[in-house]
Amino acid sequence: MIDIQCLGSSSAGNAYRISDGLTALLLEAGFPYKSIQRALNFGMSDIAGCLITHEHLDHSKAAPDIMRAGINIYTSAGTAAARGLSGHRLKVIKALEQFTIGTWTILPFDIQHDVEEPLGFLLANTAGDKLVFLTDTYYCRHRFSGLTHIMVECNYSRDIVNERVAAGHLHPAQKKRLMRSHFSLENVKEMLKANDTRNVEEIWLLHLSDGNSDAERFKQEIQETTGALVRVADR
Amino acid sequence: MGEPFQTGLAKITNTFAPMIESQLMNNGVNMDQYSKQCVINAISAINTVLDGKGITWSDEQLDRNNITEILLRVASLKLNASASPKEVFFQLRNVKIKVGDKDIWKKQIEMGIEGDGNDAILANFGRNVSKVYPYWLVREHDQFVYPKFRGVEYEPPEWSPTGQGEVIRIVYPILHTDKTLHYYISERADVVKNLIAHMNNNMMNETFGVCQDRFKATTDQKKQIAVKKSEVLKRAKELGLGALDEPDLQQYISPAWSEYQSRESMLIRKMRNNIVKKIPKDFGSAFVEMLHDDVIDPDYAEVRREINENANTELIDIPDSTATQPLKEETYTSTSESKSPPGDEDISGDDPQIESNDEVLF
Repeated sequence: MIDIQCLGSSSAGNAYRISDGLTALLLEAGFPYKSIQRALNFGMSDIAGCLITHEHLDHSKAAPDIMRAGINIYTSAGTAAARGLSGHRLKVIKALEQFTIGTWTILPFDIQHDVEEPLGFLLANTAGDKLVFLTDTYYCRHRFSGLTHIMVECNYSRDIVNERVAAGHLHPAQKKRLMRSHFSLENVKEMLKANDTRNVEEIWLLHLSDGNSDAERFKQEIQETTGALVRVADR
Repeated sequence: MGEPFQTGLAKITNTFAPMIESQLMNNGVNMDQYSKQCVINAISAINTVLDGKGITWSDEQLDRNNITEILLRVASLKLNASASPKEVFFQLRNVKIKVGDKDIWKKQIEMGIEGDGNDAILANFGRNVSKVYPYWLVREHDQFVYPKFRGVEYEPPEWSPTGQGEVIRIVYPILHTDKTLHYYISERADVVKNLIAHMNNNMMNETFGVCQDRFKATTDQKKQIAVKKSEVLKRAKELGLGALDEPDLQQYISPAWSEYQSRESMLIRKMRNNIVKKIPKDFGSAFVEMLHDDVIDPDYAEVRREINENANTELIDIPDSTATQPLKEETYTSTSESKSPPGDEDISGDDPQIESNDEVLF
């Protein structure tokens, strides 16, 4: 059984704590360290490691402080270089080279975002749960089998974006960049259809855009597509 | 007996037409006689464009795959290049294409839908649309009474044309499949929204002298540029369409909008589009819908193509979690300084003007 706690999920910052009861991990560190401490009720000592997908500050802001607090950061060489991270607490990982932290086996994989070397993570634990963590990508090349938990970005819907561009509320250049850097509701649905979701217990929709999303609608449409329990991560 | 003589254009038509028909059939779309006529007319119009530039159909520089795509769109959306006024136009563009690691230049035909093309799409594919009547160009000296609802009872608008003055509104009478007649109205004053969007787009690279290049702007400079932009847009909003005559603002407005001779047709086109594009369409086929999206939004089409080719293609898994070793103890030392200035962060689809405090990173 995986316990997922969302500390925040938006362009203002992203961080999630996941635990299988034996090993707790921090996924992303996109808030000031103090905010993360407070959100975890100062329970940082049981965090066995922090996985970071890419260098944008809304995903990596607290990385240096987390390392100073004695927690290992796991991220790609590209992300480390772009954020200027170094030291013995930095563990450089590569796409498709798996490693373990406590009871978790983690397989990083490449994703599609406009940064140096972004990664997604497939995590399996010894109890047989399997979670995919996928954010800040406009599609995913990979498919996964036997997933029990899905944490996926669902940033915007195309029709909402088009309406905002037509109304002059969103710049066309922003729309263009958005299409090549973030997951749309439409593409998330296609991704979920392409994967075997029979065993999925929970789907978390992450990183909804403030202006270009509709939480209730997204939740309903993903529920209709998968039949799974869908949660929308608090912003 | 030898084969009958065929002109070059006829040969081209005989090459493309069966190919288009077969591709549409494979995607579950039946090509009727009118669609075939649209394909023939499009080939003829493309031929005129190529002729004008001295390019032949067999020219190596010409991207013929692109022409097939265009003809598919023309056939499925039933857009007639020979209709008057035109429903669709073609032009030649040079585009950079990546072949391996190299960039090469190709000549590509580009297709655009004219205002009457959008009307044709509405008439053919509008959801619950039975008939699109000729639209009313209501001028400022005309007598016009707006339609009125009394509960569910509907009183139609009244119009007495005089032909005098500028066009101040456009009315589309549309008969729906349930036999109800609706009058969709677009006002001239509302076109200011389109103008603001146009100016916003034109100011994409504008730095107002704050710095040389917007991509090299510091966070402070970006803020200054944003303030200037919102000042310009605020002024345009205050002036409404009067902004078109304002010398300070004209530098951010394309001549098609601001020049006197083209202004009126631009405003009319925008008023028409504001009605026609918003009425829902039902293409009856995902393939035709996709082709429509391709025409309306080429950036989206390009992203879609990439996603269709690459997404969800490669199955990966953790083979045996018990056999995996912890990451070996190696440290990594970064050799570069941070390359991620705060101002170059992820946009996440949100409006940066809305999210601009220090804690919020867009």
